[in-house]
Amino acid sequence: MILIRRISAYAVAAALLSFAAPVVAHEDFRVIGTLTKVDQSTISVRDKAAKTTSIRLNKQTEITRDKKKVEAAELKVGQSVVVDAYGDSEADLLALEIRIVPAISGSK
Amino acid sequence: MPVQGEAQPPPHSRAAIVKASGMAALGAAVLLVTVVLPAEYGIDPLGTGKALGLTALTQASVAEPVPPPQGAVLAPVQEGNVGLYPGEYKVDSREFVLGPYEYIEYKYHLAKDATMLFSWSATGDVTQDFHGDPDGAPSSATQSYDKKPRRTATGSFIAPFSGIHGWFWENPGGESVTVKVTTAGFYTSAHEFHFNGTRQAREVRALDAIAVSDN
Repeated sequence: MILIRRISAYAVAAALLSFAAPVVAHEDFRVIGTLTKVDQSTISVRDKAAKTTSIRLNKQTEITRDKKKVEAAELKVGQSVVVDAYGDSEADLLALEIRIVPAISGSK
Repeated sequence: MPVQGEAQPPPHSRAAIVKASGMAALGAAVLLVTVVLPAEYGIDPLGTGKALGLTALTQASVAEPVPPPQGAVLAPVQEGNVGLYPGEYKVDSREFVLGPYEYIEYKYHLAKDATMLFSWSATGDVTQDFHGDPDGAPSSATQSYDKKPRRTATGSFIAPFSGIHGWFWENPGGESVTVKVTTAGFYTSAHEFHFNGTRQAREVRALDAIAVSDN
């Protein structure tokens, strides 16, 4: 009987958490700087304050140059980029859009 | 010229004229003390002005002052063409330097129907969106008021709902742009949202923070 109650309590808690999860708001972030690392699932960007931020990519991540879509293979270390991403914090970001822009002075 | 045959009044003696003049002067003095002084100057030595209701004429007819609207919410109470508020308006002025591709949002909290005056200008091209977010609503409820390309704008705004209302300014280019905004309005707070996800509450100034001009 105690076991059934405990399982019920866990089930209720799990149900509540599953409802609460979508309510947790992601924040919008923009990271502006120079690509320091590029691989299939992650990029690293160093900003003008010399802080490096890692950002995840997925299939929905849009990569553009001069407002035209380009392949992920176009991303190269040393390029200036503007990354619009979302996540709970700067340590957990998913890129929505990566714009390859002309070199930004002071971002290298 | 006397006409012949008409009866002529007897000539007044000097004593009669003096007596009549004295009586007239006495009457004038009585009127002065009992009527004119109380009515015109509020001087009422005999109490006749009060008895006749004349002293009220010297008192300005000032009605009982009406208190301002009460309430914790800085929202207008409309009386004809005048909107009266339970508190004073605030003022604010900010300058933001937007580096290449950076953006900022700067918004004020206004109650429904509250008014704000604003002027802003940018030193270069910016993407702007004057918009509002209702209190407690999801971000999808954002309402845009003006997103035409502008470098400067001056105007007035009446909040269509309670929430935060203000501007998104984005520098779309590779050179820094400075945006300066000055406002006055019945807002209670200001909020700054940066492109890097940070947000900051900003203090708005009360009217007594403004220096009074002496000429």
